[in-house]
Amino acid sequence: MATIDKISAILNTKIEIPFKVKARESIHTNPFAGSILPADIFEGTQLKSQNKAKMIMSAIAGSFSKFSKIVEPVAAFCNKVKENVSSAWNYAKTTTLSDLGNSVVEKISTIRKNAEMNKISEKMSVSELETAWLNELKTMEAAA
Amino acid sequence: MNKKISQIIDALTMHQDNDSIRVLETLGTNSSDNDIREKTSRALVKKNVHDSLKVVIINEGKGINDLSPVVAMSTINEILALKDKTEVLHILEDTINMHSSETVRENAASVKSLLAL
Repeated sequence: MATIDKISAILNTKIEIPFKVKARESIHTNPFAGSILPADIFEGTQLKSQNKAKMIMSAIAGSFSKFSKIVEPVAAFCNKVKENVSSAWNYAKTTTLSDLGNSVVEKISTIRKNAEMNKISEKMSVSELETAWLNELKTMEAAA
Repeated sequence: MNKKISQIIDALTMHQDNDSIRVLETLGTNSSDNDIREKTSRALVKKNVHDSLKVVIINEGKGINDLSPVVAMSTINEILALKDKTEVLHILEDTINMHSSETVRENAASVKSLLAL
């Protein structure tokens, strides 16, 4: 009988199961229930607007960098045109009409000389060739 | 050398008219410019006719007898380059045998010996 009492006593005692998982602490669904709230639970409206502004700005900056890539050659071209215009203007300022006249005369004489050069061939008569030679000697003497 | 004169000499070289020899002799071989004399002498040799070859072989101070060694050597080279040497040999023979100037005769003999090589 004593043995039976012992066994019943053992059975009545609560045995703690070592691997039993403890029930989780209940999560406050109501943040105003009294516990301290973490600071980042709510996102401020100001923060949101800042992020949006950042996004817009980064988008603008990105697009601007792409745009600048396109614009660069255009800018270089414009600079070149500007330089050419300025050099042409300088030339126009420094060159007098007589200079222009001289250059035109020189060009015409060069063209005439080249035309004469092309004209000389064995198809010309000996007297013509002789005259051309004598004229050339005269020109050389005059130049010297 | 003046480009135009060079072209005129080339044109006269190709000319069939015998008067071209006269022009080359008068204006070319009497020029004070060595380059013109050289080109003219070569042009006269290239013609390879009796009258033109005579100018550069028998005349003192012209062609092979030019005082400029460049002109003389250039003329000799042109003579050596001729395909038909019959006429030039004939003139050289006559020059060696009959010319009054000893220098001209010696020069002609030298050219003839070069041709024989």
